[in-house]
Amino acid sequence: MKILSARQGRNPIRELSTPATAIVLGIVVFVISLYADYYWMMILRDALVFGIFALSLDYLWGRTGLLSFGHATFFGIGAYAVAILSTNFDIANITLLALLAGILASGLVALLFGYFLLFAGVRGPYFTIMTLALTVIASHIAVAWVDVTGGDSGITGVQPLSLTLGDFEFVIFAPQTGLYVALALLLILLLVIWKVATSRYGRLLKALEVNELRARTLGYNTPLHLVGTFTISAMIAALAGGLYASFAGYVAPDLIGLLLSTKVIVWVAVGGRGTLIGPVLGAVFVMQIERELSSINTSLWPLFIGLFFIAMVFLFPNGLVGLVQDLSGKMSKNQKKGGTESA
Amino acid sequence: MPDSNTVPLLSVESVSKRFGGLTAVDDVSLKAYAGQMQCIIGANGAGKSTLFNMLCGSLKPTEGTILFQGTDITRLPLHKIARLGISRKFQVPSVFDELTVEDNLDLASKVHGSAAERRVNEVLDTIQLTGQRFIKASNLAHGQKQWLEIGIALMPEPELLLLDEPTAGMTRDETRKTAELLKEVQEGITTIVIEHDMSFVRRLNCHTIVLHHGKLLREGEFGEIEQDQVVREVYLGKQ
Amino acid sequence: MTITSLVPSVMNALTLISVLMLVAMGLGIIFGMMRVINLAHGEFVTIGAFTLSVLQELGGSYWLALMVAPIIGALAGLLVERLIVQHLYTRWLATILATWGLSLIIAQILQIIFGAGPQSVSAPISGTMDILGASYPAYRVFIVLFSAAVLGLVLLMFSRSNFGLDIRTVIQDRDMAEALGIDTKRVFSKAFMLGAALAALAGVLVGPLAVVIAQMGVNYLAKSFFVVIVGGAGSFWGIGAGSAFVGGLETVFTYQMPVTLAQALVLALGIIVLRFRPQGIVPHANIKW
Repeated sequence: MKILSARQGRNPIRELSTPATAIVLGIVVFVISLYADYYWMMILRDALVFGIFALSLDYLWGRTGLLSFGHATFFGIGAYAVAILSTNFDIANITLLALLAGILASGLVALLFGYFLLFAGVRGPYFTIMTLALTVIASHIAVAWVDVTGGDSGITGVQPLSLTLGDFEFVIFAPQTGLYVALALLLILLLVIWKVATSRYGRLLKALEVNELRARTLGYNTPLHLVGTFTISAMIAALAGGLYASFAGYVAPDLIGLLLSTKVIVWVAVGGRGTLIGPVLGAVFVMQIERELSSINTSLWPLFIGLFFIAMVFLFPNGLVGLVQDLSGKMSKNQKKGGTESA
Repeated sequence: MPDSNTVPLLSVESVSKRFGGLTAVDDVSLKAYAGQMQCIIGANGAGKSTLFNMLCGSLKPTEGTILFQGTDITRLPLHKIARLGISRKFQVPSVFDELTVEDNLDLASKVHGSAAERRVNEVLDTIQLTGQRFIKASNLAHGQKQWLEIGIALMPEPELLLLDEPTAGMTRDETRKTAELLKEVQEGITTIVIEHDMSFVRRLNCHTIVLHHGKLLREGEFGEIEQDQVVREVYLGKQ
Repeated sequence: MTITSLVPSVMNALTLISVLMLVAMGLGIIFGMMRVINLAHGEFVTIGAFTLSVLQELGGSYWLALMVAPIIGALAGLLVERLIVQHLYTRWLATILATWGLSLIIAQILQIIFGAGPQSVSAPISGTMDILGASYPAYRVFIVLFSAAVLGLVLLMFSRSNFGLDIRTVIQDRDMAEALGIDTKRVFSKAFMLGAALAALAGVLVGPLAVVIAQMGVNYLAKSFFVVIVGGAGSFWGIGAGSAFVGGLETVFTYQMPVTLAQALVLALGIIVLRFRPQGIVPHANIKW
């Protein structure tokens, strides 16, 4: 029994599966892109951008256990920064600069928010609720500050990402180019975060989730690490938001609100919290279902999400991936017993 | 007993802790000298845990000061106190359930790389969990978890080791083994043990402090304490 | 500044504070009792406002709605508690996700039935009245006085009745309460219904001032949770302090800047307050109900 479970804690198979799956994902997306038409190219591109967004939440929620109910705030800050700056300033590389500015702004908001709350010991449900308040207010600002944000109608004419260095010019205009850029960024982030997650530092973050007080008595400045993780997560979310705005060419308040914050939680939950690649696949998968359902009736989707949350809590608390693992675990157990118990 | 000229490693100077109207610890002073082991005993509610929590920084005293190696650590944050070389073992085993035994120890290490690996091997050997190295901490037996806790506390080679009821929930056999383990590792490390299991304290047979209603009642070698009439009445008599 | 010119801002603040207190009371109590977070609490406000709208549509009066809405709110609360919350006491994350799911469902169903546009509701009292020389909308004065009366009853109930004593005991120490023979689940169930009824009542009160749509609940949810966290969970005065902080500051700031900016500023100040008082303005241990 003990021998069987050796190295189980490190779970090398599951951890190594991330780079392998990432490579497979990259190849699959690339092959599809060779055959996809314009429309599907856009769909796939957006799915990858939202995959980055899902990854950002999983880095926070999956590693440290802190659940942000307002992660769209950071996505939205990135998106609005790109939209506002690129439509108001006409200088070279403005969209790229705006993207960086958005990432920094988002990081700064998360840093301040996290500093005050996490150093005060605000954790668990309290932290979650405060992020919810944050996103509600952020979306109020996006709706009401019409002069800057365009209010309900948002901002159109967002400039595409481009890089101009002397004679060299690279503009991401076609969905296909955007798709490759998004794919490259997603894969890089996946591998970097995987590297961090499997390092000693990643295990420290896990330790914070399991027992923060214990980690503190080992000399770790735990609030600092939580604030750092929250800030990095917010910056990745802003990167996704900025990419989305530059690709789509417009922003609207639904990019910063509670519903998007909720959706990203669903993606991570479906894919499996803490699995990194799972949330990315969850985003792609759930968005496709959303599109299908919404084409029948747009009011079905919130009902579906609502039912999903309730079903998840009662029927499969470990997410769909966990459900599949549980089921396959049960099946293999039954096989070992010689199938005496029917599954 | 070290003579009074030696500077104590830890010096607790008339600390008190009040919660609202309740005084949990009332004007307690104690000293711990390098290499010494002592036990703090007392009935439930005598203020043992409160005193202990103040020593390791998770509670701040209402009054009084705590000096460690001559530095005032009374108001230092928890993690800074830990970095000075004060290690703590919690009463309820609070190992990192999701991590392996090895990773639990590794996180507690102050050094990195091969030095950390050597230290992990040493500690695994001491706490006799070498065979469980790659097992998730959640899969350990209760006694093993307690030893892992002690191992985590030992990892950074602390100057001062604080142990809160190291035998809580252990079987008789495990308790005996733990006493041996502590005597072995204690060589050179200043140790303060909180305990209410008298047979265990008898095994350690060290300098003992008796708390009663938050106050220091008696202090001395366990042999003397055990014979003390007042102590017997308020505490041992109940056994 | 004369007293007369202060009247409108003070009365505006009081209106907001009293509504916040009514909504947040339920949240604060159930959180204090069982550490339960109900993200569908805002929907009780929505249900109250929609009750008013439906009854007025059918020719009923505002006063009827004021009596019926708390009953409907309490019944809705009972359903939520029995169907979902009761099974998840010890799992805060599960409670958050499940009640959030429920919140989405309730809001969406209301939108499917009643449409996405604002529902029409009207106040029972129109015109203004004279307060210290300033004229002020009479209906808002009614909100303040009526809420004060209801909150006074709630406070009386907490401090004098057996039910209130049970609630306070559970908040103080749940194990102790059970050892004393209190049926904690039953007490919690009743407290949950009470909180839902108060939120529905608040829904009727704010209905004529607010835009009554299916999604209105979430604004009250976020704000009243903020009230509970900043003020301190589990006590009447904590929620009072939190409401005064949020409602008072927001009103004051609104005179200087756009309302959304005012809300953002209140959030920022609240977060700074939490840095220094993590348990809220009125931490529970010091509470005298």
